Amino acid sequence: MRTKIFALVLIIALLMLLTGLGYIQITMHERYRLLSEENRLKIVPLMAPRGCIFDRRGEVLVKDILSFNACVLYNKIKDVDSLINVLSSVLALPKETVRENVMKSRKQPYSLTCVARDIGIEKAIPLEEIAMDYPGLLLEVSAKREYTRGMTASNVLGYLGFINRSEFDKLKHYGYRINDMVGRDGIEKYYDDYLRGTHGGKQVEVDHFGREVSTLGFKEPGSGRDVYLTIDIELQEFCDGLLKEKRGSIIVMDPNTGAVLVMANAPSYDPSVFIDSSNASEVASLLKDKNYPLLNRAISGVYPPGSVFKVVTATAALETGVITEATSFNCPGYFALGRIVFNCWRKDGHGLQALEDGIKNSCNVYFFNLGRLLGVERLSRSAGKFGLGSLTGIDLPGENAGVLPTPSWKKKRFNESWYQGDTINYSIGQGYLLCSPIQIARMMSVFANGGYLVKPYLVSRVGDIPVETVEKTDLAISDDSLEAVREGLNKVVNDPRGTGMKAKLGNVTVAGKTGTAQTSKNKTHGWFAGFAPYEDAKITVLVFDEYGGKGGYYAAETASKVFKKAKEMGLLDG
Amino acid sequence: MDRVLLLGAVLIALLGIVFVYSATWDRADGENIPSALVVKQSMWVLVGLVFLFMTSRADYLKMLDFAYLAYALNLAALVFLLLFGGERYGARRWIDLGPFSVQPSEFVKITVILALAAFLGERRERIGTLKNYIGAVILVMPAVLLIFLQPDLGTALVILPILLVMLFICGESARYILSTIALGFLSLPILWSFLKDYQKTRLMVFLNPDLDPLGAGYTIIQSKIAIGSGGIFGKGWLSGTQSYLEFLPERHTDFIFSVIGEEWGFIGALILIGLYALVIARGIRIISSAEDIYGKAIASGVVTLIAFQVFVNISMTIGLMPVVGLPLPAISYGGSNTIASLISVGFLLSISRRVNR
Repeated sequence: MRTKIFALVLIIALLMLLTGLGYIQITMHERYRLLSEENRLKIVPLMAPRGCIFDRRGEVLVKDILSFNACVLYNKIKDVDSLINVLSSVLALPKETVRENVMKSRKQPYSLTCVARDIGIEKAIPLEEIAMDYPGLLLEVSAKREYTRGMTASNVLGYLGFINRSEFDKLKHYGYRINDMVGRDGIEKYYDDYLRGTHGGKQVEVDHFGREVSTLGFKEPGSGRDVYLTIDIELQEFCDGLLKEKRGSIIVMDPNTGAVLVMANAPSYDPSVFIDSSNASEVASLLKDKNYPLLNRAISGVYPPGSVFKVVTATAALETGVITEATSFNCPGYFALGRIVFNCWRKDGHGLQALEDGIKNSCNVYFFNLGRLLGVERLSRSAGKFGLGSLTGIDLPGENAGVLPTPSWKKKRFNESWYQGDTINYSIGQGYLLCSPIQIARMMSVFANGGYLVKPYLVSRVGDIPVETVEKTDLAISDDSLEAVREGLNKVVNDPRGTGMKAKLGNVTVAGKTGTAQTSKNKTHGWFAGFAPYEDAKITVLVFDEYGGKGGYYAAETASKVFKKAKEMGLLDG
Repeated sequence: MDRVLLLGAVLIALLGIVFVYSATWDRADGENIPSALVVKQSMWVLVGLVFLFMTSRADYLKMLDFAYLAYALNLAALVFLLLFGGERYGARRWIDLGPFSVQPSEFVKITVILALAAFLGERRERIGTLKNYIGAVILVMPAVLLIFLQPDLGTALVILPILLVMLFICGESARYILSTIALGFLSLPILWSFLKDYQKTRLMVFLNPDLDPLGAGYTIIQSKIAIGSGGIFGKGWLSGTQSYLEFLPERHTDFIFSVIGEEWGFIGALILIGLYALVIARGIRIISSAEDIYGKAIASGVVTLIAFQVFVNISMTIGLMPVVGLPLPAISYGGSNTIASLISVGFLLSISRRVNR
């Protein structure tokens, strides 16, 4: 009995199924046949425009512009040869190339195949006019990224690339499509989620002329949000100009907030190269270039800081009380540790000097003495406080934390004990210590803003929402120590015999420190980190000159040009 | 042994290979290239048939001795998946075993039937009592919950009719069964809140596919176009434009019926449904002629398993039901589905062998 009831239920289900199938396959057959065979149902993707990127004054740096692609749809082509002829004459391309591209469409006869990308409006208009006479020829309109200032700030802005297969598998749940562009570096990558819009689309029924008859469904594309940078493009362009034919970085930063006004790098690249897939060889040469143009040196490159590090040694010595401002050491031109001799950069020595002159002269022997008194633990703790060896947290991808050496680090890395000689080198910013330019910029900012470590940032606003958050850490350095080091930094630039006198300006007081870092190769890096005005600093300027020789020369001179330009632009006024 | 049933099952599995071929083949330079999936599916069918013969030769009463153990191991595999399983398509359903992967939720469909049959058989004197009824419900709940959490709504759902039909056929109180169904419907709003967003979207889209024609509604619309455009006679094997143009996602797995409907039309659909109906009808005959309650229980579970999956799968491809991701037994591409389906038929055969003796 129960089995019969069960069988009855199954029979009813079977009848329902057959009724449904009969309805859809027999009664509604004609409608679905039209939808399918005539290919009448079409999905038209509506791409969302990507957000623009602006500088602090609202100048547009990156935007989407229209671009036209000449495409063919194989199953609609009536006369292949005449199509190839007309395409070759309008596009001014050799017939063989066009034929080759058109023939590619055979493999996917029902979807668009691109014959030529980004053909420009002057070719697009005649093509659109003749499209009616050549079935299968279609003009596709898409968005193209334009970098209005060319190579300026390219390492900051970053570039786009087509999403690859493995990324697509990971990202498809977040609304990415297979032909999407994603940010590959810089702001384009870090803020991709905001810049990128959400795709929409509509499903339409078309008649056999290809005209839309009705819209069955519609999903509006949501455009991406605009991103506003703290970058000042005028000053940035000026700094990029200063670096021409050079290798290195210039950073200009507000020491009080961490807002980055300039992040210039050389060599750099043209981000628009990555947009067009026909530039593959150019992209490959960028990737292979031994000068690493794609590297954002300001945040991803790490180098020995050399003498600019002496401000950390000085602060540590004062704060721990191993010296006072007045403690003097004699510099005979060398420093002997057991049998090893460390030289001062000036062979005949600086004589007897206290802190202020030690900084002014950048006397190695003076700082060797401080280093020996401090010991490695206190020195590296102080360096860590100044943010060296850790990420600044700037809103860019690919930041490098550098190396903050300690005895345990050396043990792990080289399986060697720490020698006192290592500490001696450490005290003047040589040896294992590696820092990125942005780390040095914020280290110097501590002396510009009254003792705070700030977090550098580049984006002030996303769409209508301000995202600026000033993060300051009070390093709890006593006013006396801070003032003592500042006095030294003042003398470096403004004393007629200071090591950074090249940075001096007439109408505004600049303070700072030079650095000349030895590298494993037989060349030196030049550094200058400084701020102005001395009394109430508005900007910190960092110049890093890769393999550029002594910091006192080119780097300090370049910095003075940046300060001068900033002054002209009114950036140093209250 | 029921040779008609055996013939039906083998024909279904072979048809599966034919349509996995059609759903996945590629054309290059005017030549048809079968995909690697066809070879794999043929292998699954072969392995499945070996298991089918082994099961049919074995004594199901002896196999029931291991029912609880098999069920427990199967549950353990599901727990393992939840804890350590890697996600694929947003769910943790597969255990990776190097060259192939196993979907334990496909096998739990069988082990749950066996465990329930053992339970009902052992306590045949107490059938009809509330305590026994609740005991049976509690027995299957871990499986339902673990699969629901994967998340795999379809497979979790298929266990419920299996439970109810087995209880019904074995003589549990119809009042309790009806109350359970009523309770289930009443708790739907609560269940709704436990669903994942994509599952909710699928249900909403079922009510109105044009809501999101590019996203969740896309599959249903394209599947209906495929089947509807097939008409009475179909477009012919390998001639389905809907599937070849890749309008149809999942066309070799959950939506393989769309390919069948498009290429072989109403006639082809009738043949396939007829084969399933044959298997199910023979299954019903085995239920009524089984000589013990164990056999009745297993047979009713297997019949429900096959019938429910066929009904829900085909209904979703023609838009009569929301998309819940149940395969077409022994047809949809996949080793676990194919092998598990053929093993379940093996059990039916084993029971029929005992009757004829």
